[in-house]
Amino acid sequence: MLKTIVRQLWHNKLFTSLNILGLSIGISACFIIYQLVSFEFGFETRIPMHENIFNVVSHLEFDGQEGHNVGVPKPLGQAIEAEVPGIKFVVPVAEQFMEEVTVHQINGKDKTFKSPDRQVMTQASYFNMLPYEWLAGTIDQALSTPNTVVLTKSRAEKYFPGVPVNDILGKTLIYNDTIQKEISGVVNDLAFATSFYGKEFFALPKDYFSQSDWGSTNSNDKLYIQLEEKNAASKAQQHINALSVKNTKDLFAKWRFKRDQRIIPIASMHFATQYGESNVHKANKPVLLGLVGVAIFLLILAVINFINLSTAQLPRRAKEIAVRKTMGSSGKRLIYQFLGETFFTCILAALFSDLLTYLFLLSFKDLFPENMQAYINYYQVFVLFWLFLWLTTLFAGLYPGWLISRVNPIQILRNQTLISFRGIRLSLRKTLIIFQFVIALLFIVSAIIVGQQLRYTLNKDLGFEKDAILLVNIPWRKVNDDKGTKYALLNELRALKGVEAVSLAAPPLSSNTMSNNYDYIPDNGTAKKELQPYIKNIDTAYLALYNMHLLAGRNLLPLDTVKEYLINETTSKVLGFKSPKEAIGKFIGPQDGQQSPIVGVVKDFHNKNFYQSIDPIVLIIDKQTSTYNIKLNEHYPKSWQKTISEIEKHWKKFYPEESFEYKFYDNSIEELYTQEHHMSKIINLSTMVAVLISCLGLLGLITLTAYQRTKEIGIRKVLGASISSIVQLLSKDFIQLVLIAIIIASPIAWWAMNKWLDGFAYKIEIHWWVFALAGFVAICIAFLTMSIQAIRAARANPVDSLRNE
Amino acid sequence: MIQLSNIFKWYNVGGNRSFVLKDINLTINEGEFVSIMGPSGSGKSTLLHILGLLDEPNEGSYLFQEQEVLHLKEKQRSTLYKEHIGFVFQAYHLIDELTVYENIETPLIYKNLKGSERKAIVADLIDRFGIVGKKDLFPAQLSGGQQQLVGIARALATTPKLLLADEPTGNLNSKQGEEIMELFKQLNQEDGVTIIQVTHSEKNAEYGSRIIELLDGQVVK
Ligand SMILES: Nc1ncnc2c1ncn2[C@@H]1O[C@H](COP(=O)(O)OP(=O)(O)O)[C@@H](O)[C@H]1O
Ligand SMILES: [Mg+2]
Repeated sequence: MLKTIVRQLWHNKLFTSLNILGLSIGISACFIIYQLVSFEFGFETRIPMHENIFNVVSHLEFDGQEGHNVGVPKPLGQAIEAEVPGIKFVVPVAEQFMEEVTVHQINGKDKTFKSPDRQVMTQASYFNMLPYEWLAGTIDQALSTPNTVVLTKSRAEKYFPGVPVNDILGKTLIYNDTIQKEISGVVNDLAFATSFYGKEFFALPKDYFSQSDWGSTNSNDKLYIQLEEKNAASKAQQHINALSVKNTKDLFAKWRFKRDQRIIPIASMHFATQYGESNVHKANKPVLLGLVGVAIFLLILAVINFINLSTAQLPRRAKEIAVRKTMGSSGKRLIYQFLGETFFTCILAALFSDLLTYLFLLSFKDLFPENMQAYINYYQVFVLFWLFLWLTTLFAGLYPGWLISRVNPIQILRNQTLISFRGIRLSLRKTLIIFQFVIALLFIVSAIIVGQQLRYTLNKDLGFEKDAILLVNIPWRKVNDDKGTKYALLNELRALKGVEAVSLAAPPLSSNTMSNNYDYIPDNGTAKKELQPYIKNIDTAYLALYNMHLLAGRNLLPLDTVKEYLINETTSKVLGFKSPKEAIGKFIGPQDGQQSPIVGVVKDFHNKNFYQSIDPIVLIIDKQTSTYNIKLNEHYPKSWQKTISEIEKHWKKFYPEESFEYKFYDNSIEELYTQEHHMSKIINLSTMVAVLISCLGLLGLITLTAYQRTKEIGIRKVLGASISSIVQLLSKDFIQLVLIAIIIASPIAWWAMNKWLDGFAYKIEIHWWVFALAGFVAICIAFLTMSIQAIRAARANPVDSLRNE
Repeated sequence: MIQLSNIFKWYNVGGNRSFVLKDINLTINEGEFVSIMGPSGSGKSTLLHILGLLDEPNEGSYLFQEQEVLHLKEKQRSTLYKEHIGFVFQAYHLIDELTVYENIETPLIYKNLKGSERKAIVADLIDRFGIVGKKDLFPAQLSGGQQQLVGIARALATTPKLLLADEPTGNLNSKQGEEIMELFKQLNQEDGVTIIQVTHSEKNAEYGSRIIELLDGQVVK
């Protein structure tokens, strides 16, 4: 049997390779998406009892606006431990930022590691809740005193290469040149996808729980709890919330501020993008589900392709089948034979897809989370693979197999039925081709529109100029030194050749924002207005540097304290002024703080991104600035490198110990759109895959049609037909199918893309030409695919097909 | 009209050259009616295919109307088909999906004739061959003789100077065969069409003005 199968597949090399290629592309796409999805959905799921573990978070409400904070008030953890029943572990986790660590190594030399990451403060319960193994030290004394540190194995390897863990115990690490900590334990690294990223653990300071009041919420103070029973979750949440409310009632009533404590299962936290966490990779669930959809579509496409190509081959095989039947082969046996061929093809395709997947992941590394492949569950992959193999074989093989068994040998051998028999199946094949192209067109349209929207976003008038601007951050430790170093450097930078302007200020659009509560008290005695504008610390050079326009009033004066305000257009509108002019001279100020006049109104500019509309913004002059905004000569990019190295020289003069790092502002704005870039890339890739698979199907069909019509082509040539007229003859029908697909796909694509665009506050219009373009592209690609085969058929020497024999 | 010199045609079979035509020299004048005869496998069809530019010899030269026509480009060749050469096949080779009318019309479409002109020509031919009643039928619905009539009508639609026929009566009974031969004779004598036919039958060969006999790829008479 196997021999017959292999021979049969070998005999139809072209079709076999088209089938394998189509299937393997589909499988690869699925496999890659499976890896991504199972990685993202696998977060925390391998922690024992993870259903019982929750993250306590804060939900804030103020002035009609909601806020989410992953942190909780510091005292909450201890209070829960004391008062809430049914809790197994309470685990506070706070990130600790250390500038550097000095390691006294075994060979006697000191080695310093700059900004080691993944350092957290916690307590022993952390190691009880999570599946850590102690390679050295014990959980009981590990974090029992303040000056101890626990390392994971990988971190220990980094600090002490090649030293056995037991020898590390008791060694001292020196942080920031001053703080000494003794290594009290080494644990293994967690070997699964998790947001518990810590590699270096310190004990929480003794006064951690009492050092701050209940009123503040800091995203760095995370709190996890493990319940005895997971059904007790809602009860526990009520309890915890009651605790929090009890302790803050008086405080918040005054501010009309509300805070809820909520508990979220840790597995869900991975998708809770509204709770920003530093150092933690979050996943976008809708995007992932969308990808699952894409994977299913691509696989369906590939299976359809298979069915299409196989049924298309039947007339060619009819004779063989008929002969087999006259020799007494049963229909069942023929179906088995065909299923065997399908199965074998699937296996070959799966093997080939391995290679494709590998190559793909290699070439598009940056599309995927870095350790995506670290925790693949091979058992699951294997099971899924077998499932896939059988299902595909069944779906892709059963129908053609059934058709085979229906072949009537007498008719075939009399050479009659080919035409009538072809009729039924041709309509099925046509439907499949239309379906394939509908999918391909949907992908093409979305690729165009997503690309357009992205380009629109990146090129939209931001309300300021972002080109030729360098951003250089002052290290946080040096921001507020009292020697005025940063201003001295500022003055030197301004004097540099090639530097047009320098401003010490927060860039207009950035992900780091700060907001505050402000009041406006109208002088006509009407009620005061409250608002929560974003605050931007700027200086006098700022407006000119970013080419921002004043709609009314004047720029700020160089003062030492906040004595006047610039506001943006939106603020002016929110405060109810009819025109920017009207705002000038009105007084605003922080709640219960000093009121000062508005001296100017700035034309609106984007401060966060393009999904949301522009917020109210207040611009002030403040000493709390940490970023140099350096405008270079826009028209002379060649000189930039030289200017930058000049800047670095001056930097080193003032900050000899700090490395000089800079970023071009337009690049960092683009970085804000990495997710959109990813999505656009994924869609482009999927489009390519969809189009490719559809074309494979088309290629197979045109080849077959050409084969079936060889005789006719020969006759027509002898009658004087030109090659182009024969190519036309062969492709006409298929182009028609693509046209039908365009008609079906356009409204669907239009609807779906409108839905997608609804998520953007600023979006493009969908133009009809997008569909025309997509259709044109599809037709061109279809035609190119077909013309190769069609031309070959048309060029063939008619004498071969017209022989009498 | 036709001048073949030193035509050789061979196939490589298992490393050896197997000759199908050996040193054929042949001149055929305008207005002749030539019959090619010979046993099966002697190379008659191959010779006819070469004459009709369907096949190329491995060696030799072929002058058609004083012009070398070997190694022509696809386009020039299809022009020759359209303007000068008509084919009639033993197996008729009608296009199954087209009606009688459409079959006859096809070469005219390739000749880029206007619809009205095509209509006139096709109507004329259908009339002349007495198949008016059959014009909307498909080939499968006709008898062999009728199909061959359509084949000939189609070959004549472009008023070719040269008609090549490979055993045109091979699949027909003798009465049908005679009719076709009469038609050829008439075409040759009244319309001046040069005809080259391959035939097995002495009787059919007699209709022509000259007989060429092939044996093992060589002209023996
Ligand atoms: N493609 C081919 N390869 C090898 N031999 C061929 C090929 N085509 C034809 N022949 C051989 O050429 C010879 C002449 O064929 P043909 O011209 O059809 O003969 P006829 O028409 O006189 O019966 C035959 O012996 C045939 O086997
Ligand atoms: Mg022959």
